[in-house]
Amino acid sequence: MVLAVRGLCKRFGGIDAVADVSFEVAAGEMLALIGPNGAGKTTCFNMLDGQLKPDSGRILLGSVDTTGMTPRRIWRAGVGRTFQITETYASMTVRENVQMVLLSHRRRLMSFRHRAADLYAAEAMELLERVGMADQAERGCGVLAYGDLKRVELAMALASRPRLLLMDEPTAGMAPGERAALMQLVADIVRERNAAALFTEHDMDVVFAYATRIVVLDRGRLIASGPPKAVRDNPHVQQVYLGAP
Amino acid sequence: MASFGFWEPIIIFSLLNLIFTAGLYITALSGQLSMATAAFGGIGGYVSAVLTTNFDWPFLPAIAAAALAGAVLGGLLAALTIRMRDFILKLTTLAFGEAMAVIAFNIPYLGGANGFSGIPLYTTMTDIVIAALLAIYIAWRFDGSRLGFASRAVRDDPLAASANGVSIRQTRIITFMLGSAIICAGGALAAHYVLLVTPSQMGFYYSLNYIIFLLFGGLQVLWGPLLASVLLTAAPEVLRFTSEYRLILYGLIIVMVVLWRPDGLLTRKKGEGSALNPLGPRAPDPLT
Repeated sequence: MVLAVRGLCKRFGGIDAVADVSFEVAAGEMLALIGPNGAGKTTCFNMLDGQLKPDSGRILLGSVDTTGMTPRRIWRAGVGRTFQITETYASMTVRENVQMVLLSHRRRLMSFRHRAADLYAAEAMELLERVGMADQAERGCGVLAYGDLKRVELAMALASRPRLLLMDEPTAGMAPGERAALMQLVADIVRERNAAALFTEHDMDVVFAYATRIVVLDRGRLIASGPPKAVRDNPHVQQVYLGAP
Repeated sequence: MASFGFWEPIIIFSLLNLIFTAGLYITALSGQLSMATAAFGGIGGYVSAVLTTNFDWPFLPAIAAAALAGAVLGGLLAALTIRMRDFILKLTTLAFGEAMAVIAFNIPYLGGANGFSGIPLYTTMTDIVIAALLAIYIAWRFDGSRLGFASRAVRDDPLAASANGVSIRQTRIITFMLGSAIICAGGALAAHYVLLVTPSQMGFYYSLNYIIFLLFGGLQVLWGPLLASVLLTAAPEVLRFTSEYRLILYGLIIVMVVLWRPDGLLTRKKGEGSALNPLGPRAPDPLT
């Protein structure tokens, strides 16, 4: 088991943003977290990556209890993250962006010695090759097209060799063709590395094409989970989110 | 070293400003554009002046003490402003600089408004050249080092940097300490050349010069601000033959560079200048 979430709760004022949510993610899985706006998907994500502390419940990453840890420690424990709005370093080149993460992951960042641009260059190029960005390695991140930035961000997330990839709306703002290509890439990488991905997504075509399992939230509560077909046929899910077929 | 006559003070002040600018460049690399450069320079000057004049310290240890004072105060200021960004951060460094000037003004031991005088003349042309080369070397090494990478990451995107395991606190404190140490050492060298340290030279009006050097030269590569500091320090002197028009010409040069090279004199990549602009991508011009 890569990730186990048990009885996770978070209240904002009098509102249960996330109430008693439990699910698990196994190695090799692509788990989609879906639900209407305000269902608690982002709150859930922010607790998993450490930006929010849960009120109760536990988060287990493999055998490590990461509940309430800081984002940095959770990242070191093996959780890679991509953001809904891409977060890269605009003044650095594509290759330097990936090198930055490789250096940070190996705790080799706080040093004055050596030229950083020479360190882990080959490894950074390998990762960029994998996401199809090797030919643009020397370009500045600030000039890239949005779809390309998403690939760079994925390479950066992979640089820390995560066991779990957390992706908040990985295909938001992309053209339909790009969406399929990016999700296929993620699916291939997850399989290759025997890792797991947990993603939120509003595009149901993407969800049903690439998720191996789906968890549905509504008003903070888990209302259904299972393989895509079972979730699609669930009357409750159809009623609150998917609409009647 | 040989005498340079008319050129000697111009060369010395150009190189002193280059040292200050190198320090400011390092501080700014992690996204903290300090508005207190002149204040740190003044602090370095006071420390070294007092130690040599009143306590008979030799020159080198006095410079080292000035640099140490800069590192400590720079580190404290960075720790104080760790949660601040952008405008508030700049205003706080500005207030810090002004406060330091007022404090110096009110300490009779430091000479008050008249400043601290009677400082021994130590700084020679050779010292300045060696110090400038050292400052360039340190800034250059820092720029390309892993800490330099971490600094740029923190400046470009603090959220992503912390998600990638970079400590914003450590990075910002280290850059501010190193930058301020260099500036204070430069201030000490200046004090032993000018032979006077006054509170008025610590104010924002003087700090602004270094920000002009930084923006004029461009924040993308170290060589831009360094070149700008030398060019712009020398420009008013070289233009002296135009008498009262020289300041107008100085302003004109700055305006022309801002118009033609908005990202600064030197940029990192041809054609991708503005996208690599560390001050953030510019919004598209609605008129074009």
